[in-house]
Amino acid sequence: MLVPTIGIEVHVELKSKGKVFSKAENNFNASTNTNVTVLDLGYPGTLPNLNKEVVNMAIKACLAFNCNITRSMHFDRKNYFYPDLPKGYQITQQKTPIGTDGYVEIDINGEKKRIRLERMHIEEDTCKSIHTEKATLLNFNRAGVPLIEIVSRPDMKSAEEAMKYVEKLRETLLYLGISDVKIEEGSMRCDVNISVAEESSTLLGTKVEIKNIGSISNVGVAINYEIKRQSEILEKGDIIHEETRRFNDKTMSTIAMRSKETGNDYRYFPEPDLPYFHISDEWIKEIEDSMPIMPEVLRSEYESLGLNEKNRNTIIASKAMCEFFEIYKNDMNPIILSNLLTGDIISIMNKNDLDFGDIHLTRENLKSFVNALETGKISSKQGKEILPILINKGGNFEELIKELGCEQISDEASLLEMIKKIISENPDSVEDFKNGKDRAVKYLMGQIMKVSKGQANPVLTGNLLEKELQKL
Amino acid sequence: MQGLSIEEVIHVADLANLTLTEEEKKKFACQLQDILSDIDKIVAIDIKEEQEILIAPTENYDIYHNDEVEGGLEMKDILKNANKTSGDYITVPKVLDE
Repeated sequence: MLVPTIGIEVHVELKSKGKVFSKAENNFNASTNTNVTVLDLGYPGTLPNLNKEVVNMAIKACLAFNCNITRSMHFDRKNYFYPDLPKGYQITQQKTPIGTDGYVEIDINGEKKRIRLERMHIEEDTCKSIHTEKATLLNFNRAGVPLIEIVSRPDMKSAEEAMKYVEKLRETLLYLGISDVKIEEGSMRCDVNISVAEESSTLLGTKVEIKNIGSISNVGVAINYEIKRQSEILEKGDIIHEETRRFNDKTMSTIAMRSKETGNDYRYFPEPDLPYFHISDEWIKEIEDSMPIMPEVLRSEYESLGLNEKNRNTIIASKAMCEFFEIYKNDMNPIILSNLLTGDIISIMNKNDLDFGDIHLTRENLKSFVNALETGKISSKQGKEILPILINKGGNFEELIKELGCEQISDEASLLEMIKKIISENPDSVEDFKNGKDRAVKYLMGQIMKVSKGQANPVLTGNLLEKELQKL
Repeated sequence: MQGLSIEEVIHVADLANLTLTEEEKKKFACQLQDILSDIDKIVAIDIKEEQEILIAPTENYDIYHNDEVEGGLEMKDILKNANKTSGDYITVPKVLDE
C-alpha cells in the first residue's frame, strides 16, 4: 500500500512595531510603499540593525514549541536573484537557527501524537509582488517584515494530521500574541512537502513541495489531491520528479511551477553586517516568567468546568471570544455562558456586524440573564427575544423582562389557581386523562400557557398539573 | 590548483540572471579563480572546531534596537531611483514563474 509522508514549513509574520532590521513601521494595512527606508530598498551603504523585540518574540515561540534555544547565533545571506529582493540576498539564519529540535502535540482520535520540529529561524520578508498582464508591481511595505520560519520533520501521515498541526501552530502563536496568524491575508504561510512510498519501504519517495495554500482546510485539500496524483503516477510505473507545485484554489488542484533548485544554489554565507547575538539564561527566564496562558491549559480547564468539546474549541479558536469568556466564567454558570457565547451572542454580533467592544451587554445584565435561564425564570425562547436588546441597546434586565411580559410565573399559588380553573373548564379532557390518553395533559398544558400568555414556568406547571389530575 | 570551468562560470552567471559573451566567460573564469585562490588561503588556516569564527569585522556583539519606529522615506523618494513606476508601485518586467 502507498502511504504519504508530510513535512510542513510555516512562515509567520511577527507583529513587532517596526521591521526586523530597519525602523520602518511594520503595518500590513498601510497604503502602498509608505513604510519603507533605504535599507528596505536594499540601497548600497545601508546597514541592518536587529530589532530586539523580534528576538523576544522568537524566544516565546521557541519556548511554546519546546525548542532548544541557540545561545550564540548569527545571520546568513541566502543569495538569489528575484525582483522582490533588491539586495540580491535574504537575511536569514541557516547555520544557527534560534530554535532547534522542538515538538508540538496534536490529538488524533483521542491519542496524542508528537510532531517534531527540526528548526525555527528568524528572517526578513521580501517585498510583495503583484503580477499584472504587462508587468510585476512591487510594494516594499512588506520588505523587511520579521518572519519566523518553523520547519517540521516529516512526521505527518495524513491530511488530517497536517491540518491539526497547522491549526495547533496557529492557535499557539495567536495566544502568544506575536502574530495575527491570518492565513488568508498571508501573515501565516504554509508550504507542504509531500512524498508517497510503499508502506513497507524504508526509503521515502521523491518529495514535491506545494506552495500558495491559502487556508487550513486547503492544506487538507492540497494534500489529498497530491496523494492521489502521486499514487496514480507510481501505480502506472512512472517516476515522480522533485518539483515545486502551486495550489490553485479555483480548481482545487496543484500545478507544476518549477523544478526544484538545489540548496547549494543559494550560496549561503554568514551575514557580515550583523555581529553575533547571545541569548542568556536570564533573558530566557524573564520571558518564561511572562508567558501567557497557552490554549492547552485553557482546554483542560474548560473541560473541568463542564464545557462540551465543540464549545471548548470554538471559544479557544477565537482569542476575542476567549477573552470574553475569561472575564465572566467565574461569575455565572459557565456552561450556560459558553452555550450563549458560541450560539446566540456571536450570531447576534455577526448579524449586526459588531465586535465585543461594540456591544452593550453589561456584566450585571449578562449575569442576571444567565441566572434567569438557569433558574427557569425565563425560558430559552424568551431569552432569544431579550438577548438582542441587551446586546444592541443595553438597559436593565429586570425592567426589560417586566416590560416585555417575559417574566415566568413560578409562584405556586398563582399557578395552582390557573390550573384549577382550566381543569374545571375542560371536563372532557379530564375524562380523557382518566381513560389514559396522554395528549389530554398536553392539551391542558397548552390551555394554561395560553391563559398565562406563555409566562407559566413550564416545568413547575407540568408537575403541578399532574398532581392535580392525579387527585381527581 | 584546478581552474574554474566555463560551465561553472555559466552556472554562476545563470544564478545572477546574467548573459555573458564567450570572451567574458573566459575573463571571469580567471578572475573568479583568483578570488577562490585567495579564499583557499583563509580556508587553509587551522582553527579548532569550538572556536567561534569571526563573521563580522567587529567585536561589539549584541547590538540591537528596541522596536522603535521612525518615519520612512517619502513616496517620491522611494520611487525616485526606479527605472519604471506605475502609480504608487515600482514596476519590473513581468515575472512568469511565480
